[in-house]
Amino acid sequence: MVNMLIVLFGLTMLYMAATSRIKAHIKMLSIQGLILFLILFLDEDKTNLINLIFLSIETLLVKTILIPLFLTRILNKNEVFRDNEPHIPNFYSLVIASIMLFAGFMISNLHGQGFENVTALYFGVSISTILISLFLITTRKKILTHVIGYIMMENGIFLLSLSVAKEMPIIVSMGVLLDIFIAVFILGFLVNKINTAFDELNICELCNLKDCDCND
Amino acid sequence: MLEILLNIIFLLTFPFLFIGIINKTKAFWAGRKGASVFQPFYDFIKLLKKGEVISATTSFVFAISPSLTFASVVFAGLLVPVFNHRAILSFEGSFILFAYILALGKFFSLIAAMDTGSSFEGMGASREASFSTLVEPAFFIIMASIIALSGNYTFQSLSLILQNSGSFGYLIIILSVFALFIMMLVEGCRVPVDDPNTHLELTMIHEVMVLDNSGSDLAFILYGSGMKMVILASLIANLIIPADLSLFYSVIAFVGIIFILAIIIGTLESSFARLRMTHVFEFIFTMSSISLIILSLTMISMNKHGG
Repeated sequence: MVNMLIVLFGLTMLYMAATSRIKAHIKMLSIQGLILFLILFLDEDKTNLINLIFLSIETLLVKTILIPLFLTRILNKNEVFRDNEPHIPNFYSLVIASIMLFAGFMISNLHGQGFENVTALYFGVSISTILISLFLITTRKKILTHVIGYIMMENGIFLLSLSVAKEMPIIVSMGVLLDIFIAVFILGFLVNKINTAFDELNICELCNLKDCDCND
Repeated sequence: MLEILLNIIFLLTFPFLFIGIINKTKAFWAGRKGASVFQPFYDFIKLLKKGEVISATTSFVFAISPSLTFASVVFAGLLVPVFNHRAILSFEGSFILFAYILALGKFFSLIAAMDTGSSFEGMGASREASFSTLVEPAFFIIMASIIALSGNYTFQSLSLILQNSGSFGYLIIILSVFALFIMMLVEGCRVPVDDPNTHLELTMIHEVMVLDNSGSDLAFILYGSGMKMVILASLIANLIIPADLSLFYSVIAFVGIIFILAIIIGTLESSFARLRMTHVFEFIFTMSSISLIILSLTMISMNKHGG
């Protein structure tokens, strides 16, 4: 069951790479939060109750509900619905993402022979999630997609922390939570400010932000 | 002997029923009564009675290709295990012959389409060829993984995954079913890839390739494409049905799964629109991605179990 959830997590990353609708991206984000919660619930040893409660609240409340809701609000406010014209066409980004997923599995397979307590599947999917989200951040143009890719990278790190550090995911996830908080916080300001300055939420517009020639 | 007889009867009759059920399901979702489930069979008889028109610009390739395509599909059908996981023709490595015999049939339908000289048919042929290039490697990766897992080189390996793969077995079965389902939609030219009901040459893929065929040729082309879908559906059924079922129950389970697949396809066709041509490639590539995941799971599982 946990294995199935982890592979589903990997498949959400592939879907992320294949689609350009930001609503679908946000939906995937919320599904990933839910998957993380279920993995946590099924796999984590129930001895440390405070730990479990904290992580459940974090994944279920913050990752699954709050962040997607916030992003949806920004989306509706700014009326950007599609990440049009990414730097690489969606088909190729799907190809690259699948290769990355495969490479992650291969790395973890090599790795898995050396260490006893690291699950190969966890490791592979989390490594490739981090890689794919970095790839998405570099190839997509809208700021919202960047933040979504960033949060997905955090999800990957969370999954990695579940597999590697059985004892201290609470510290890791507190760090992650802080990162996410800052990301979404900055996004809230940035998006609203940029929207007043420029018409579109394209990062290409940011290249024009120079002090010297602001009269044109 | 009984099994062989049942297999042949299944192979010959189910293509009609399969298409009939898909159409009935579509009619149900559209709120219509729909034609009888046996309508494809009546159509087949009707087409057989009709005369044939062959364009004067075509060569002998056009004349022989429908029969060749149909023969290749029937031969591929003999290689696939139907009831009780035993095929009529079964030997080690038969899946390679299976893939290439289907490819041979497809090749002939492609060059027959090119042979007519119609620009639309050439376009359809080009699309069909580019879809096949994405589907075939994925099919080979999936079959290779399954064979590596089960240690059996015939198509029987499909039912033996659970015995050797430990905890990943169910996962691999689910992913393989999903991937083969996509392959069935592509090969059968069903909705997210191609719309069998479309009547605009620019958007057609498979239908446009057979625009010039008529009469008995057309009858056998339609019959063959239905049979191809049934063959791929029986691969899926083989994956799902466990190996140690008695003949009676396996027949029931098999027929049930085929019918359920037909109903799923009908429902998909009523609820989805055809994808835009550029997105079709992404859809088909999903199958390759899934096959890569299956391959990696296989390697992890073999590492773990020392296979």
